[in-house]
Amino acid sequence: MKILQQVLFIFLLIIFLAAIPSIIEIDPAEKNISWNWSGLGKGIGDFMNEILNGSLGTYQIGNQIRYISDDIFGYFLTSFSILLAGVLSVIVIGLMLGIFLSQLRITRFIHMLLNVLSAIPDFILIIFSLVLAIKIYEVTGVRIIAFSPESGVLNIWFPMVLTAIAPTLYLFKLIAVQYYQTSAEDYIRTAVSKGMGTNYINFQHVYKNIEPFIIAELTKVVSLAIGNLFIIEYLLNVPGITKFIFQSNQFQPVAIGLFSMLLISFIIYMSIRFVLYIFKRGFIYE
Amino acid sequence: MNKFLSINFTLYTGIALTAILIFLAVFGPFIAPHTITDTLRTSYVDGKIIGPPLEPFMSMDYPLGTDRWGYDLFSMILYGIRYTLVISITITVIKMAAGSFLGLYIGTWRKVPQWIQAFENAWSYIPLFLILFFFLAPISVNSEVNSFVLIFYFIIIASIISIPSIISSVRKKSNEIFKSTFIEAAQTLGASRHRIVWRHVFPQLKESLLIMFILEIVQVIALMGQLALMKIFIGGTIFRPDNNIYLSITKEIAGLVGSARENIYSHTAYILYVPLVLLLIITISFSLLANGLKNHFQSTYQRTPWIKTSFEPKLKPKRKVYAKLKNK
Repeated sequence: MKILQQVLFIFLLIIFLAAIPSIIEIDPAEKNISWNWSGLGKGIGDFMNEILNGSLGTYQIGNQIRYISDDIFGYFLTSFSILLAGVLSVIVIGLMLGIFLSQLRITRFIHMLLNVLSAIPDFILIIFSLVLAIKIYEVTGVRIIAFSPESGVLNIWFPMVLTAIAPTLYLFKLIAVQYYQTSAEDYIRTAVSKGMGTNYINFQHVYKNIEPFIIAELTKVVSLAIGNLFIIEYLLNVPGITKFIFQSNQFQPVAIGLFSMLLISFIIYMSIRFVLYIFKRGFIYE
Repeated sequence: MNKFLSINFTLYTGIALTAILIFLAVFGPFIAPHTITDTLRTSYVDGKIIGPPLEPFMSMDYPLGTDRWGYDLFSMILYGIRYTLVISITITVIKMAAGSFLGLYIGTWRKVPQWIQAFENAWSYIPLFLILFFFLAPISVNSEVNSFVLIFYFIIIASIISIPSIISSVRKKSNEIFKSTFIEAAQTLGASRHRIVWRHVFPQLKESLLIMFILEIVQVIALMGQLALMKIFIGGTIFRPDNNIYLSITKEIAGLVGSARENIYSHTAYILYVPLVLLLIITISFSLLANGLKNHFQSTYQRTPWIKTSFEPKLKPKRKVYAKLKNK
């Protein structure tokens, strides 16, 4: 029931968002902002018509008008692979540094670094990484990024890294706090007094108790990654779903783009849950 | 030495930096060496040509250099910083006041209606800057509306759309406290809901709400920065299609970053770095302030871990000494 309501809310929100550009306009006579609600009904009507006719409609890119259905598959795959790789590495790095390797001396150093980085807003980090990539090219001649959509791997891997930065910092901070809290619990003391090794305690006691928090924050992690993906695809000219969203103000492509994003994030959320489940089954006794 | 290490440096640095920023926001235009419409004229000084774009630290008159048209970057950021700070703090005040008020009361409900939770989850899924982008994109670029109307509009919408997340986190905290036994005692003694909220729950949350307030300022600045990368500047964007130039009307710092973004690929990258570094300093000073306060409050309630963790807080808890120990 709750999930149904949630889906309904998201659905309404997306429709509303896609319609906003046609609702808000500037009244040239009074030089003021006016709301034109008739745009909402028309947008939704056209959208439904297109969908019922079995087509996805068109979108405008530059001066060209193209069919959404021709491009959506490739765009979807690009965005999906960037986001999947990004979120997976977020989870792996977060768990490794936060729990399993947190005893190592080098981790201590990484912790300090991540703490400093997490104070910086993500868009500044994105700009700095771009600067860094350009400087590396200037100094060494090694090409790290490419802005042409045709350049294949070069155009994909850097967005993956950038997408992962902000959610990693977020998740890591969360896990660090939880780890600290959990390690002060009495059952940890009991385990220590029974002479169990730290690794054993980390797997069997700490991880098991932190997992619910991670799952609860997973939606937030995915949504952070999506927020960054929007910016990164826009800045780096990646041929992904955002092409539908930022290139035009029409209702049709924006709605299709946002729904595709929803689908992508749902698939990713589910696959991360699956990975965590496998991990728990494989390594931790029930 | 030990005493020296236990000083909360984060807090004091944060306070000092924030004070400097507020000073600049208030007196910025009075300190500025030029107005924002003054331009550097090309001239010969000691046999060298001085002309725009002038790099930083080349001339005493233009300490941080000029942009491509000869406008002084230092004056520009001094004029812009007040917009950045005032807008972000206003939004934070509105959303924190409304969000914590509602959150405190909703936290005292026995059961939170399912639709509220569903709405919160749905809302947290969509990135906020995207919502603002759709609201501002049709009206910001080459707008005929006065830039103060646009700023007002941005403040209202940005506050409203970020209230749900504040309600959600305050609600959870307030609910956690509402379960404690002292609330039960107050209820037994006949305290009304308002009394419980303001006399029992709110005092427990004061500190975390203060920290949240400061961190939310950073969130708003981040939001403005994300919009600026999309060429939506707060207070309006001037778009010159002949050269594909986007300019910020208010010279707000995030807007300056956004409009100078293309310089990253050229030798005039400093036009981007100047506002970017300032924005970085602004966010870092607020983060330091928040972290310093957190250390200050947390050291009082700290727990001790049983296994080695790599993130022990350095500050030792300061506890009130009520009576001196006699036999030590």
